[in-house]
Amino acid sequence: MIRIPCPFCGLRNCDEFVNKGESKRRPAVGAASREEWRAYLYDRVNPEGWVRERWYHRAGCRRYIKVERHTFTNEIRRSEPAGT
Amino acid sequence: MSATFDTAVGIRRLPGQVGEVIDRCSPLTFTWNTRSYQAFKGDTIVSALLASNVTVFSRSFKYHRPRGVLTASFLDPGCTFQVGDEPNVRGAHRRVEPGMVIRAQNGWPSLRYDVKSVNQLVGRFLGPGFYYKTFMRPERLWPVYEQVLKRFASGGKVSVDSDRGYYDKRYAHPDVLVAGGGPAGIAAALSAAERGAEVLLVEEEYELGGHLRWGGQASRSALAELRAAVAGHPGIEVLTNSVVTGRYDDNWVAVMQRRDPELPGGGFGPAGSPVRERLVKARAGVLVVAPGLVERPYVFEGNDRPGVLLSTAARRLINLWAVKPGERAVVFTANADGDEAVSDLERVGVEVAEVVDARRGGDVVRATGGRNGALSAVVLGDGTKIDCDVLVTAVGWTAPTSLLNMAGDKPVYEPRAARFLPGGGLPDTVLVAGGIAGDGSLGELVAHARVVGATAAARAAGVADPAAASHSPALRLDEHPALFRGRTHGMVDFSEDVSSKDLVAAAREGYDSIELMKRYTTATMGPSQGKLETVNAVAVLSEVTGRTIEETGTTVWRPPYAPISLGALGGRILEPVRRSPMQPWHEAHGARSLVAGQWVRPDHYGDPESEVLTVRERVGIIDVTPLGKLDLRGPDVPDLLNLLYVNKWSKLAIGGVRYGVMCAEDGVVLDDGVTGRLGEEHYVMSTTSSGAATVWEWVEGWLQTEHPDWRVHVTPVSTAFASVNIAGPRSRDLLARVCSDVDLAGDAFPYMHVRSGTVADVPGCWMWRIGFTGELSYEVHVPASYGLHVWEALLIEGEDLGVCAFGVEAQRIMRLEKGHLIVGQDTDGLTKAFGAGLDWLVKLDKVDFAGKPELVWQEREEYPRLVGLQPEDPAIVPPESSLLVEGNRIVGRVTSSRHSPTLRRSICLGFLDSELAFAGTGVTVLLPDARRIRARVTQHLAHFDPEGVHLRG
Amino acid sequence: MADVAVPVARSPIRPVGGSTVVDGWERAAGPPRGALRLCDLSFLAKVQVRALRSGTAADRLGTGLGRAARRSSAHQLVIGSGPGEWLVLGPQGQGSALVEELERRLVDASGLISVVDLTHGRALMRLTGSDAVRGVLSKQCAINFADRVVPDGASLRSTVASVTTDIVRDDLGGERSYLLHCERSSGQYLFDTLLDAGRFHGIQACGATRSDW
Repeated sequence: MIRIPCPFCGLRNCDEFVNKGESKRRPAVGAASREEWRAYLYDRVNPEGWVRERWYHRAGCRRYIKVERHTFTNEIRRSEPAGT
Repeated sequence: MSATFDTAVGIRRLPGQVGEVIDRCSPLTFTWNTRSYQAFKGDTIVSALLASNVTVFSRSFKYHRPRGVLTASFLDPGCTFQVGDEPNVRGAHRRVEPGMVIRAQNGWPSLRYDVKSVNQLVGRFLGPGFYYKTFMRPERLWPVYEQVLKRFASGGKVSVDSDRGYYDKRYAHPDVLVAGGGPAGIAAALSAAERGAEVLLVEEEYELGGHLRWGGQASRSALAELRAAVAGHPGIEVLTNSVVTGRYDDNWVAVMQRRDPELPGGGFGPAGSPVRERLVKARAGVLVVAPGLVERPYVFEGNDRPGVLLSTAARRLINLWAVKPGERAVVFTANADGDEAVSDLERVGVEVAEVVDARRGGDVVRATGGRNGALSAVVLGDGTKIDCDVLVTAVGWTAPTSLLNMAGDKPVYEPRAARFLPGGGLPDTVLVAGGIAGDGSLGELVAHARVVGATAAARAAGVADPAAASHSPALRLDEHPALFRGRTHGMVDFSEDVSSKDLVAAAREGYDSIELMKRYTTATMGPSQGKLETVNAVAVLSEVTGRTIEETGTTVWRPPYAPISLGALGGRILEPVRRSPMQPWHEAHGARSLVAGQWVRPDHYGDPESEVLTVRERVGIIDVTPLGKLDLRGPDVPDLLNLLYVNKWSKLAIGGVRYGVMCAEDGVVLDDGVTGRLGEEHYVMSTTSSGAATVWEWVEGWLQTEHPDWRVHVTPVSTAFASVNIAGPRSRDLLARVCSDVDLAGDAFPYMHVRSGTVADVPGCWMWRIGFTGELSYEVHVPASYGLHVWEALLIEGEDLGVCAFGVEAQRIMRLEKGHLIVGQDTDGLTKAFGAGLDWLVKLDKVDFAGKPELVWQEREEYPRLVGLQPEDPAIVPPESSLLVEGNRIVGRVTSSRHSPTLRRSICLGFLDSELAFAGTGVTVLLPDARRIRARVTQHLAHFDPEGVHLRG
Repeated sequence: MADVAVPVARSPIRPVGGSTVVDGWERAAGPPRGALRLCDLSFLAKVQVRALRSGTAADRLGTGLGRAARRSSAHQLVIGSGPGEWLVLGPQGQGSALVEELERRLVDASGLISVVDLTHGRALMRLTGSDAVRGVLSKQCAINFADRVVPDGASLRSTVASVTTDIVRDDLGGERSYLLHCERSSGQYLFDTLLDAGRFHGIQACGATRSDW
């Protein structure tokens, strides 16, 4: 089981967190085309490599955090609170 | 056969051996296949049986050949038994206990007369892929084949009535975890502990020591020193009879700890501990892999006959359990350990008829057997035939590299040493020590392991690595002849009964990559999982293909390294359940319970339909504590509510309550509930019981990621309040009796409003006038510690009003009568807000809210509609999920259905294609028993009181 | 309302070994205390404070994230339970008073401040004894409870037996002790599960005494 370095709680087993998937920018609601909105909902890059994703520390500080994780090695090189 | 031994303790039992692990002062009795046998404390099942001259322990998996002892260790493929209720016990490892009832597992009807051994005669038809090819067609015979195959398969019997046993789990956080308690593992552990590391030392056998245990005087004294040092070091925790079964990301290491009856509490702590097995989940700073080497069998004709065994097996039997392997031996040796076996055999009086030295070109070609299949003679490379009852082989070693594979390494084959070595792909947190790393004298291996241990301690502590600067003294690599298969064909996989001939055939059929060959022939897929057979299989394949072993490569080793019982994986049953403060009352009053989303709730108290009628005619109370409740505070709550719900929230007055629906960003209905305004900047949102956690997380998501500037605090208070819904025409009268500080008159406290007050002398309660059941009703939220008090007060005060407690089932019936949908029951992961009949709620003129773009597009599209349905035959209740059909076309489905005691007929909600979703349309309902019945779409979703007269009371 | 009794507050955890009512709260009477013991402290007042992570409110509360400290003058334990979140424990029956006091203390602090009485919404128990980790917690919680990681006065939130739980190391006169705090509805399950884990280490459920608080 990998560990996630929570910016508030420190290294914790990933089963305390929920993976909320790749970070996506929410399009402006009035202006978004159907394609842009559907891309926001469903399109994921899913690379073998570095990905910026969002995790929620459900059984800990209950903060959403941004994490940069390598999908093959599971190395995490960055972790910070969301909304910063 | 010598008659000098006491038959009571076994005719093959030797006089006292210096390093023996049996306690001759503690004899014990056990049963093997209905006969009684004697053993000593410390014996394994197999050593005890061998001592009594039992030499055949099982029949092989496919050809039902007799099998004896091969490795005399956990891996021994022919020594798997049924012990009492427990199947698949490794008999060459498990210690025998007084009164044990042991049976052979794979011999039908008996070990001696095995009916299925006819398979041997038809062996040529049982080649690779036999089962795939034979039991394929015709398909209608598959059930028959299954029965046949089941009888032929090995494996013990599991009784459903057997004691479920006490299995445990534990988390551990060692700085250094050492896998393997031989001399190298011990040395690494000591050296790490001396540098302040907390060390977990894991050994598969019952004692530390590895091969030192069956070595000579020098080995034994070295071992005594190492053991004393470990015992004296408080920083080392030793787990014996335990095995590392897997290494996962970030050094998450699984250790299976098995019970050792000799240790206090079985090795699990306090005396009296009943634990059978424990799964230790260790997060190790550094993992040191020191499993030693596994001796490899030689492939030649007859190599699986009872009497053919490995040099380590012979030495273990003699030195650990004082068991004489036989009377007349041939030893085939390619290394020093084989030579040691010769001296051990001679020392205990076994006649060594011939030493065949592979280093000088010697070879064994065939082991021939007598009537019972056991070894009677060996044919050598030069054609000589020598009578014997034991053939000991020492042809080389396999490095058990599983844990290295799991850590991302690809071990490489070193032809000079004829074995695999670590490939240099290990992370910094995984190190190797001992035979898996290289060769050396005991002193050299221990010195190397000490450097490894020091490095491990340093890395775990995150300090400078002493070995990194001056590269650790690498172990040397001794030359070893490459011996895999001789000039005849023999068994490669003893567990799966796969011979070298089978592998050659498979390769010729085109399965000439090792991974394909493995799956086609099942070689390496049996209980020993490749530890004995993988390298031989690779060698045979490279012979056929003309490739080298390096080019052929090996299969990938995956967890688990050793078998894990399902009990240990399950551990204690930890199934969290949640209880309301009134649950003790429900249980004491005959409630039939249901569990929904961890909550234990009363389904009903015996007769849900009469509960419905009581509510419709008088008054009832239901425990709705699991309802989600979020306390929302701050000036920006209205903005938040406008974002979360599809409807508008800006103008909700203090004391007002509004129903709302939430959609996810894909426009699918997520949850619903009411939100009330308690104060200027204070709101309370209710959610469905099952959606409480999801909605909270979702709300936090919006606040933390999209709108961190909004000033709102969300606190879940679902269980801070016990919630009671008082429903029915007399609900106002009942509430008035326990609440004097709120004016309950219809115009003072109208429908869809909230008030705070005192209920049954408990201050700080909220009362919501809302109605899921369709009756006049008040939802009272009480500080939870007083929940039971208020519940009991309502029942006492309402006795003359005819009050009753009602359960979830009555509430479900009433809400269905009223046509209220349940999110998750009447909706699913595709249900659009417009389709669920919520059009009236959606306010597309709001600038933004969750899922708005999808709802804008939805408005113009066709989608199935939620409708009320009534079967023409009022006695038929179509089961939920029954299909709605037009001929053979599916046009919808029933989402909820019940018999309505109020209307005395069946009623449903369902989804129906929009072109049919009009009042009065007739539809066909396909029942699960294939009957088709007719039903009619109703005018409203509500089957009962669509105008809401009751509700507004 | 002649038939209706005076309100009695009840803990989410069934009293073990008989119960008594102390100032309106039903409390476990409990057997004698052993070397490893578990007691229910749900009757204590529990108030949650939310404020900016740093600023006047945080300074006045005085306890950082991951720490717990006593204001002994007021018999309060202030726990830094989350980023911008504090849990304040106080004597039985002091919930409303504590809310008022905290609101008064923080009234002019910057940012949004909210003070919510969670006395009735949470279960609180105390596990005490030198075997508390080895005999109980290490079986149900993945956290490393070594002294250097979770010393006396440390606080954290994780899962214990699959229940999200605030854990506070709060030693009693040098004896290892942990406060465990979870949602009220899970309290009975958590209590039962801890007893099950410690069964062979001689764990005892007992009533709270003055020294437990």
